[in-house]
Amino acid sequence: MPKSFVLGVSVGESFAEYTLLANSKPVAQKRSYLLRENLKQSLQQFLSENSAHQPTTAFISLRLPKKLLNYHLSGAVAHITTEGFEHWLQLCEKGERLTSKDLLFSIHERILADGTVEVPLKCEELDPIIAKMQLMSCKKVCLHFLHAATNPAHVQLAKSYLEEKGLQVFTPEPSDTPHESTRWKRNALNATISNVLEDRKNEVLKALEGIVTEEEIHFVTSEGKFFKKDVSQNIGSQFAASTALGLQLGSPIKADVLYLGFENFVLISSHTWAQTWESPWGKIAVPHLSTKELSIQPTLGIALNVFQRFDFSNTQEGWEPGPMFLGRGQKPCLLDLWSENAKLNKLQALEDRSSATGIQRFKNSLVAIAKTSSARDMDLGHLTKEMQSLTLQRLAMEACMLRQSEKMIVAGPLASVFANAFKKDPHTTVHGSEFSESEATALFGIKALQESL
Amino acid sequence: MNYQVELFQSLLNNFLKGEEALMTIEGDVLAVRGSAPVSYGTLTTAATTVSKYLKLQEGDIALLNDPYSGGSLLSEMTFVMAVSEDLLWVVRRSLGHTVKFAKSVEEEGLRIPPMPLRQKGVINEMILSAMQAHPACPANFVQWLKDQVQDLAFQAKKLHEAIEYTGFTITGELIEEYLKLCKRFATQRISERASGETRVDVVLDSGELLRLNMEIQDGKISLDFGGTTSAKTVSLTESATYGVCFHTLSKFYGFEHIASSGSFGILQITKPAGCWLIGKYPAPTYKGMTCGVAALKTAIELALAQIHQKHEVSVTSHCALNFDLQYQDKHTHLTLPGGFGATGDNEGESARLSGVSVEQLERDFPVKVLRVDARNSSGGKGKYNGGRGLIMKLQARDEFQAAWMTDLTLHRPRLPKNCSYGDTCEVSLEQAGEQKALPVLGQQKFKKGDILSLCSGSGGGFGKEKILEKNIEQ
Repeated sequence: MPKSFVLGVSVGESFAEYTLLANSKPVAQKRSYLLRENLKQSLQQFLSENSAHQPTTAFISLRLPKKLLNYHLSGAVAHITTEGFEHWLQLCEKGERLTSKDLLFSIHERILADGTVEVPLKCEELDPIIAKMQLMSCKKVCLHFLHAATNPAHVQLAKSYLEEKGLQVFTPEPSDTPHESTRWKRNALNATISNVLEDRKNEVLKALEGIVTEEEIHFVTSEGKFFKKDVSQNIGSQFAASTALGLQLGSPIKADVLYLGFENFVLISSHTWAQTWESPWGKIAVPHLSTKELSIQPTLGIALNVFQRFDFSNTQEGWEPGPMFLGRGQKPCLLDLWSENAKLNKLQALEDRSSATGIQRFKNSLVAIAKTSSARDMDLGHLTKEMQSLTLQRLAMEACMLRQSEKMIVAGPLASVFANAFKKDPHTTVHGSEFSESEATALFGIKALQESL
Repeated sequence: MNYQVELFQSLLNNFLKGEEALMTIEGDVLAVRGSAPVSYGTLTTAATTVSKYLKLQEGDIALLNDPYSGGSLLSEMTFVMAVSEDLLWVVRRSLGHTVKFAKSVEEEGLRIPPMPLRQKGVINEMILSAMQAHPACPANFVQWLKDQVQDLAFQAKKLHEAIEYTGFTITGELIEEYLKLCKRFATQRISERASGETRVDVVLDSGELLRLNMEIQDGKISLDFGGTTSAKTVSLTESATYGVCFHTLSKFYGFEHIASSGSFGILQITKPAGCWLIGKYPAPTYKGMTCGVAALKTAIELALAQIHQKHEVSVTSHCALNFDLQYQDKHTHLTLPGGFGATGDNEGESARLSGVSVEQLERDFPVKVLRVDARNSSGGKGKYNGGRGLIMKLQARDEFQAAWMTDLTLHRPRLPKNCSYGDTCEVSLEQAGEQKALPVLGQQKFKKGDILSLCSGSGGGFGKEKILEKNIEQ
């Protein structure tokens, strides 16, 4: 009987990871640095290099490219709410705003808490709003009506009316969270990211064209749901990979998972579910395995603290342009401290990318910072070792204090580099696979598919 | 390793969440964290009071909520735990807010002086039974306390493990070095900016006068409250007063994240005996801990704005509108915060609401929410407008009971010349087509059809209004 192969793809902000499984065991794996390689081409290349293991099914998790959101690349989104609540979302938001003031509209309609219609919706009242939207070249609209989950009559009526006029309409999904603003915010975010995520999805779909049939390509959410065209599930994919890691690696042995990835360090619970995500825009309804981002992160900047001593700043430099040792970064960051570490340089996606000029520039920048520090430690070798030691101890300390389970598994590509941090902890084990994220996505997908049948 | 101080800071940041403090048994404050200004004085006082009366062994936990022993509001429980032989951990957790009008602290609720809650790993059931028998004991209080004790023990275990697995040791030398660095940084931050002295008066509606003489010199700040009158209905405990003063100043200078014995050294406070900032038992404290705190913050911020004229900030509406809604056996508390003052180069930040669900409110209570929005302010105008407050309009669909309290400092303090006043909090009632303003605090029943408008205050504006400038040009 011919073997069937399953493809697991995990796409983050700057890296993508691919795993081919046969009988739940990995047979081929690869990681791409998306700044240097195109997602579609690298996935196609991976599949052609492993043409002997052609997959029949694919499971994909997509993480939100937060930086792209800042530029509102998905275009303008209008919001229509029940009269009197035009600014309700903005009042509940914090920090970044998802909505533009000029695109907030309201309509005279009211449904009461028990679902009775107090003020019926008149579709013709939507016409002036549609006209204004057309003037502003806005083609996407969110409908946020009070108690629409109890009685969806108005929202359905308005949706079909607006769709008839050629607009793309986003409506909140009913969920377990009682707070309407978390549901509305999820809907608003889904609308905002729809174009960006659609582009990413299309890249994956095109790469798999002719290899996996479209019916067998599944974009996975943290709840184990599959989606392709349903935009209401877009944001559900944000925690799909971390939830998959928690369920696949942690749950069987009741251990929390410390994922040390290139993009972030997160602690994932094996059993505690969070209903909402504390996003930069406030709470958003996304059920997922509870995830805590550590204060120590792989691209955390190196700077002097308030006492004028060497420390880490609160800014993550990210992978665009990335750490200095790769040659393009301008600011020193945590991973630069390991720039001459053999294990780091052997990791896929980073191998052969280390630049001697970049390493020298990193050293020069350390000297420049040292000159203004209170310690004036100019011995770079000593300074680097001290900062490495601080990193490892902070990592071990935080992971220990934040975890909820007695046991912990350390996984991810950087697990081998930072494994020393956990040598005194008898309840922690380091997971061998460097590609645990895409592997877990595939296994999570297989299980979810079996359960759905 | 040379970076023990940084590791120690990381430990404090990871361990202390919410309103918490870590102290040595000798009384050195290693860190205080929290968003409530009073925490910066009351948490350490709680630990000192507990140490005075109870001998805590490692793992023991004491409980209190008495404002005169280091507590804040009676609805907030303060736990003091000996996490090691020489470290005390102080944690404050809330049971939920309720508007209280009373003539004495005893009428405000169940007052708990320092009590040994857990000794040698065993919960003191006798004390729990005594508290449960008290008529003012909140529902499910005992179970809530047991859950808290379990959580505290779990967190303390995590702290021990973190220290063990990293091989980190908190030595006397490390503490000494850390506190020295904190003091140096705080002093430096103050010295970098202007020095001088000023006086500010704030009058509360209930008649109390708050007089503040501030002097900033050589990296130190002295606050003299000479002239402040005694309490009429608003009273604040001494430790809460200290906390508000330190928090407001440290936030202004940007060293609130290193609140410790080291940075506390920059502040000297003088208060006349008997003034409302040194409340004495049995004076009620609810108004003091809410409106009194807001008045004190306003006075300190005004004094800072007068001394640092290059960085003037207009007045912020510090006092939120607190509204309690009661229907049958259900109760909810709404807090509508106010807007922030404008600065010389920016508009004030408008108020945001958190934790309120319109749909949930309508499901649980006989109300229909007609509107929630940023308030249209007539005040707070200027070149840069003050942050807008909030408005919430509720229509009663059946009879319900409510209690509310707004800002008690409607008498406006004198402002720096560039600043303008924001709008004050307002509560009004529309009954049978007639609108009337309700007092700043009160409680009453509302009938079906009544429409209540709750408005929180807006921040003050900065500079002259653009329209005025245009007219002058013409």
